[in-house]
Amino acid sequence: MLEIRDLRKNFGNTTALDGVTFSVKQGEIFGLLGPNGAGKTTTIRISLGIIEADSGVVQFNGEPLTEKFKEKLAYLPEERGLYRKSRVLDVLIYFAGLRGLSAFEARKRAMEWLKRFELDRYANHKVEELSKGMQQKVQFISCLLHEPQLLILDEPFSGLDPVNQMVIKDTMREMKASGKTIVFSTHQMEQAEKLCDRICLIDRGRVVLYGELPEIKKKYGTNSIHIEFDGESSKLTNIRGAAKVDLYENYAEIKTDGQVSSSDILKQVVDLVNVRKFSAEEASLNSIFIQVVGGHNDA
Amino acid sequence: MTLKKIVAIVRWEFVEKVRTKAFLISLVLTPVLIVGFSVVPGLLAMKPDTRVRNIGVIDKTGKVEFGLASVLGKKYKLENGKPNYEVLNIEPGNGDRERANRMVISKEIDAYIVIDSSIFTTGKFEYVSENVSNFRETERIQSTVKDVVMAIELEKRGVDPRIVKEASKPIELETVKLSKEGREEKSEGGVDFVLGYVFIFVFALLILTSGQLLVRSVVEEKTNRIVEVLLSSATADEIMSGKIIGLSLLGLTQLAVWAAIGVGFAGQLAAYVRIPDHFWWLIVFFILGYLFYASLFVMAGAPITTEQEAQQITSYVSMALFLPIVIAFMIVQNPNAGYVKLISLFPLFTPTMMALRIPVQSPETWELISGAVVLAVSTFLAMMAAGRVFRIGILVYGKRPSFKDLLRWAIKKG
Repeated sequence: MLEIRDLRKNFGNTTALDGVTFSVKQGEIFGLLGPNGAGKTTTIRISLGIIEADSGVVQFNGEPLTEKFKEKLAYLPEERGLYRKSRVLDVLIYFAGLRGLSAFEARKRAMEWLKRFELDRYANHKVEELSKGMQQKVQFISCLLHEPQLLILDEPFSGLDPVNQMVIKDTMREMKASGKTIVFSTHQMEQAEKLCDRICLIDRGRVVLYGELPEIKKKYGTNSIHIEFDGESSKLTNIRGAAKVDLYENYAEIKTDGQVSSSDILKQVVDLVNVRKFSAEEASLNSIFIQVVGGHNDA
Repeated sequence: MTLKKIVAIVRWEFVEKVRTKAFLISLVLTPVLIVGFSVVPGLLAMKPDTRVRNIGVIDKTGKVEFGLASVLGKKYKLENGKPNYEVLNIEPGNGDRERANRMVISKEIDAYIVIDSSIFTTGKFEYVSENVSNFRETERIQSTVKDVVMAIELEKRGVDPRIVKEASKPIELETVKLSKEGREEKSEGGVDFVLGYVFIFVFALLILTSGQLLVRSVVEEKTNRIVEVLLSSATADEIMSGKIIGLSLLGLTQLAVWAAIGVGFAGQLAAYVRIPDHFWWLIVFFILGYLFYASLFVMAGAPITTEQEAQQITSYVSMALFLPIVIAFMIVQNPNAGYVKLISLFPLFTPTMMALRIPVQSPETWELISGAVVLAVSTFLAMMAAGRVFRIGILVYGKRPSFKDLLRWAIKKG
């Protein structure tokens, strides 16, 4: 669907992108992750032809971005804004019109979506009369009316309350279910973890992690296991599959080496001590993020 | 560029602005204000009196009052044929001014004049009234008093009163304009010149309104980052064309409404305006000039981020637009001077200079052609450059690019 190869971009003396490569498959939700200033927005802007790369290739279905394809595209920029003095419905119809949708059809769909997002009674209000969260939802709707094949959302959740985040998330899942492709950038790993099939983690203009989410977790993630027990703690020093064991009085923390499952460990421990409580935590994307980026990230 | 997208942008820019209260207010309020401040006081001042005005006279010379009464009474009549002014003699002496003042306040008289015996040496007299800005009346009284005083002076020196009367006949000037083809035409020189002013006024108004709207709309889209959404669905050229066309239509709508109002008021004036020989050239210069200035506005406006900067740009452009008016007197006196011809070939001034010169004394055909060619070429180059600057400028935030930057963008191929 979207193919990015070796993008490079300098702004003056600052290197924004230093050879970014990844591809997005049809029908997936793809997470473009990274700390603030990593180059996510620059990558998106270049993909959409808003700014030009110094070098590199962007292709949509094997072709450069054509005018025709722009109509199958939706883009939600990070810094939000709509025409403040205009009416909600008019803005939606205008944006849909620029993507080739007739005013009649746009009006119909806009009303449906507004209703669903509980904004229908604001259809004829001016944008500036709406709260920030409502405006953000209107903007999100403006990305949906022309039924795009590819949605590119830059930080779609920032500034939204949990309820509205949920609404957006549900809609994204629904889009995916109907075969649409979604690329979204975020620096909030929990969001990415819940939504993405595959991710690309960018740091300082370079791709540092890329691939299927479960694969990455397996590769980088170490599960950590917490045990409360009665018995001799020294018995737990030699556990198969444990990369590291921290022992305390009646309490142990075990980091696995990723080769052995938590239940395997449990089986071993049960034979050695009397287990009172056992909990296994899968490595979160967040911890992987910190592990990979954290070393030098001071943002 | 696809027409469909341009049309969508044109419609948006036009409809959204037309609907705003600010536009509707300016549409109605501007002409009302212009008419209110310029035409109405004039009309009021021109309105003839409907009743006799009583003028008191304290004549300390004892010689002026009689002549004044008869001349004023004969010279100015009301519509019904009665004299416009009735002169009332107020005996000079102790407390004469106090008496006169009371008469004014009690509306017994409308005004009074005080003629001191020194009038023959100083030439000064006083006019006292509750309203001293009735220029027509003071003008009339002044000129009548002057005539009377002059007659008395001349008679004192033994000149026959009939000769005095004959000699003080008014003299009028009629101007005849000779066209290039040798036709003689009666013309009011001043009115001819009006056409040039009207052109510049309309031209400047259209450029400034649409230009300002253009810059504002770019600034808004930049602050809201809407420009990114637009750019991901349309090309920079489409956005720019759509904006220019839409906002020009808006400016034209405004003009059309104002013109309709204007014709209502100034219809009589239009009858005096002669269609000049090269009228069609005026239209050519208008269109080319408009496109040229629009491109300049785009170039100047695209890179800016704040309203204040937008206003700065507008004031620079206004200066260029109104320069010809500043030097208009020199142009009228000598429309074919070398430096006038030279300035006319500078594209920034070509449209306005030509507008002043064509009605007054048509420039040579070669001048018109070379002016149009220079302007057309500049317009073409300016539009090309504007497209390039716009593409980069609308994504620039914060620090205003230097002139060098602008030049670099303009020359660099997109």
